[in-house]
Amino acid sequence: MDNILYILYDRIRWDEKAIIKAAQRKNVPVKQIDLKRVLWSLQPENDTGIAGFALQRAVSYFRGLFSTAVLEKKGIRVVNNFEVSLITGNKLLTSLFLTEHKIPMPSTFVTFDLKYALDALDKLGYPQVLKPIYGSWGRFVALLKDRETASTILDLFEDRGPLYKTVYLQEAVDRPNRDIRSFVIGDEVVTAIYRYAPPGDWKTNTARGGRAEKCPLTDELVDLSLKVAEVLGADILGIDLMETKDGLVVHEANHNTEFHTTVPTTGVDIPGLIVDYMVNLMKR
Amino acid sequence: MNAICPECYANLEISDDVVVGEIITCHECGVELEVVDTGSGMITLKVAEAMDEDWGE
Repeated sequence: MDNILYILYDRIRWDEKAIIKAAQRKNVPVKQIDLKRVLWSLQPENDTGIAGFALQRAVSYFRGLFSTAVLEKKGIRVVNNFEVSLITGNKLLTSLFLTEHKIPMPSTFVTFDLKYALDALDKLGYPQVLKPIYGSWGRFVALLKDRETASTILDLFEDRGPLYKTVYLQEAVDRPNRDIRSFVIGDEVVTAIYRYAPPGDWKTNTARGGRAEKCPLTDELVDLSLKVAEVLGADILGIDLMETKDGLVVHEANHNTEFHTTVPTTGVDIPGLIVDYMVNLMKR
Repeated sequence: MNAICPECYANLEISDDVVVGEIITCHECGVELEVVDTGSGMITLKVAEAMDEDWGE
């Protein structure tokens, strides 16, 4: 058994550095693996120099997903695993999964042609939220208020490649000017924040300048967050929820969750808890 | 510790707790730089990878 914590990365952000520092504080040996500089055989032998357990922290979704796939085939336990990463990195698959497990989520539709999408929007009615099925930080997420706006944005998607031709449309949920991000590590919700949209915007992503505030862990929030993590089989998960008049709905789950805003907002040592979780996995 | 920006050759002062893979912004030219080596008291930097569409959580 290898007791080294391998951190798979392509870019050391505040979050990854905090994990490395937490491991050092706890005397857990860490080895950083730069995924931009590996050459691995796709035969069964393990020539990666990695053994035991690895924490996947690649910023690039596909780099993380595919490196996880290779490592799992070589017998390495990667957190989060391939299936969790595959589903949560794809909004369409996430929605299908949430629906399958009866987790409340906004009404969501898909269509597979940018031209037909305008007709589809006429049937659904405005406003709708258009989201690329991949990507983060609110990039290219658009609130379509009318046909003219929709037409302009869908035209812009034409040249962005095949992934943009899967048109994912979600109801514009009547919510306060905030959403909730909860953090699950193992079988515990360790903290949550409200994410407020910055002035003049409706997107709540803190990467876009949104403000954060500590969110109380209500029974509903804890139960729903744990259910999402449990049915996915996730080790570590960031879950995005919205408050509606009928209760909370889940609109996203993040397998490689960031916490650079949450740690100073809540005082909860998420990087330390991640290291503790990995160490416990290694001891089993 | 010190390093040279590979883009504009500015002399950069860098925190002692820097780790390989960390991203630093050059105060002169503003380019994002990745730390590739911290050995033997000298820090080596390269221009960091630009953001791609699949970046994020």
